[in-house]
Amino acid sequence: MIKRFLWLTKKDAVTAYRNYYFLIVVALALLFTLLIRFVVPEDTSVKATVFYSTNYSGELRTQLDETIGQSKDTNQNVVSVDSREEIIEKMKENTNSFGMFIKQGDSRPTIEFIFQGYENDQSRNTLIIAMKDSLSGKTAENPKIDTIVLKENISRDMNIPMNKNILPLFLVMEPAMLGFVLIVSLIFMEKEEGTIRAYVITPGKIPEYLASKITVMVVLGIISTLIGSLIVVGFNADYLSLLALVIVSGIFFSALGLILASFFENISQSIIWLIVISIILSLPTVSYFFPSFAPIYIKILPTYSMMFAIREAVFSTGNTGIITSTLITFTVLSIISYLLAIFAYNRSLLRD
Amino acid sequence: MLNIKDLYYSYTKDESYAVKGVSFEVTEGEIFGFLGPNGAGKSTTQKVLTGLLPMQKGKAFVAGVDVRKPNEKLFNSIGVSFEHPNIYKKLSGYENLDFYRKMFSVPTEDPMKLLRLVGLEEAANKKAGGYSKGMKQRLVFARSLINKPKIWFLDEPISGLDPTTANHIKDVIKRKKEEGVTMFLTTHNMYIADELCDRVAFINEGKIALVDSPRNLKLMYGEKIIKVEYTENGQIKKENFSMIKDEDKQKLNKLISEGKIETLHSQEATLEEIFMKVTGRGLK
Ligand SMILES: Nc1ncnc2c1ncn2[C@@H]1O[C@H](COP(=O)(O)OP(=O)(O)OP(=O)(O)O)[C@@H](O)[C@H]1O
Ligand SMILES: [Mg+2]
Repeated sequence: MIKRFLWLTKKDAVTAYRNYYFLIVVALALLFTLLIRFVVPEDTSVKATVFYSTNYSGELRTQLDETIGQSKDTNQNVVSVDSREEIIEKMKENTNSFGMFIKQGDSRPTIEFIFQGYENDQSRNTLIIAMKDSLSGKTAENPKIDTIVLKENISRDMNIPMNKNILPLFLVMEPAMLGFVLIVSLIFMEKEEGTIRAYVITPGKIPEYLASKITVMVVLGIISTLIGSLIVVGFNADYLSLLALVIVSGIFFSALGLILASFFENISQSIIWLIVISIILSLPTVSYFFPSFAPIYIKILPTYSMMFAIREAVFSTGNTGIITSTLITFTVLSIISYLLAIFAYNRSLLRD
Repeated sequence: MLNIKDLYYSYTKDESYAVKGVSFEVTEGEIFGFLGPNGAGKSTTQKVLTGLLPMQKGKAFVAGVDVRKPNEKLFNSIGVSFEHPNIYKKLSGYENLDFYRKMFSVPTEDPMKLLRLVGLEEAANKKAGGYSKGMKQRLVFARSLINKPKIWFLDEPISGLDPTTANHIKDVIKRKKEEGVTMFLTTHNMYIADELCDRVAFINEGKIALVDSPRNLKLMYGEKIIKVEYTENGQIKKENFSMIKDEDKQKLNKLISEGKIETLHSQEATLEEIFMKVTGRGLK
């Protein structure tokens, strides 16, 4: 049985190769990574807003006000508010912002930078140095700098460069959708050839027949994942979780394709369904970019949790729960859809 | 080897049967022919017997296995040459056979040997999708032998092949008979049925009209025909005389005594003529 499965897999892999499936997958992965690296800008987010307020009234007050006034002229994103509390309140409403509060220190003024918590050290330092630079020369002594972080270690989209943030989408969509579509065309090819009929009069069984095709699709998915993530993020990803996720999602989506293909005789009969299902499954991409848009009908789509689980595997924030729960969900879904596919093929192959 | 009783099959799962109560037996080493016109139900019968269509009504045992519960033993002991060639187009002829043999759990034939047997050795490494129709058909024929079947199902194995290739395939069939392989051969070609089969079943509209050896059929139903060319009033005339009708015999006697005969051939009745007599329709 295992031997038959391996021979079937070899046959399917050769067929997939000669149908250029491998080439298609590799080319798409490369094209995608090129787009990420060179076409999509690293940061498309608007400039962060600065909320600032002061209760300092010492000798440096005028210089400080001048500096802030200058940056207000050149940068309309500086907003003065009345109190430190208000800064924090405003920052909670606008996550793409940081705060500055100037107060009287022991001997000299203290500038308190208030960060959201997702900014990395580099961007924090850049800000602080820029502030110091614009003050130097204007004041006799430098003000003291304090930094305060609202929430330590929170994860926000903005700490991942915009272009790399698309990677998880690709990692979900390419292997899943392509596997879904390619396995359907593989089945229709065999239906057209009539070779399924030649197979069912051998001792070979349906479960092996389907498993070999799923295996080839999973391998295609792994190839595409490795190309995509190695080029974009290198080794900075949780590859074990990533591969586990890609494997279960590959099994699920190709089993789904198998079930779909069992209802039809050729690709043109099924094309509408193929498109409709693909569109439905890609709906969660909207929620990926607009996290606040996540109605229940999108949340229940398997691609929804897979997308965030894969992002977690690529850009770890310590929230491994989503990986585990998605893995479990998809393992269950995969088993169910595989069994359904076996059932569907046992029935449909004997229909002539 | 084959034991079929009251087999019915309906594609629509209702009373319109494509096969209506077919019963027959095939003994070991026998070539059993299924002769009938298009749409008679030949392929349908074969598909039910090979497990390609589900058993609906009746009993069928193939190699001792109930076809209702097809198992590994059944599939290991049958070989099926399909009516419509079905091969992996992206694999070469050799790869097709080499893959297929791996699916069986009994000793198999060497793919190259089989390709040579059907004259495809030169095309062995070409993609089967590029084969001509006849080549595809020969590949399917070769493939059906890969598991050294004890029962060999042949659905129109020769139709569409050129005469030389057809003769070659017929030789292979005859050789396999000598090796003791039991065969179920479906055809609408009376010459093939006549030449190859030990017994022939006439099938028409899903029913078997009669079963017997070609020779017995001819003895029973055939009338000897004499084809004569003779001159009359300076003109050559052709006429067929039955050796059963008295009127024809007298007329022929007269021609012989008058010495007018140019050529004279005796001709056996063909299976087609007998088929026509039994079922009231031809094979075409
Ligand atoms: N897949 C199918 N669905 C519905 N009806 C079918 C199907 N295949 C065959 N039939 C019908 O069943 C009857 C028997 O067909 P079958 O293929 O068994 O004929 P056959 O004797 O093999 O003919 P041929 O010499 O043309 O191969 C025909 O009336 C045909 O129309
Ligand atoms: Mg037929």
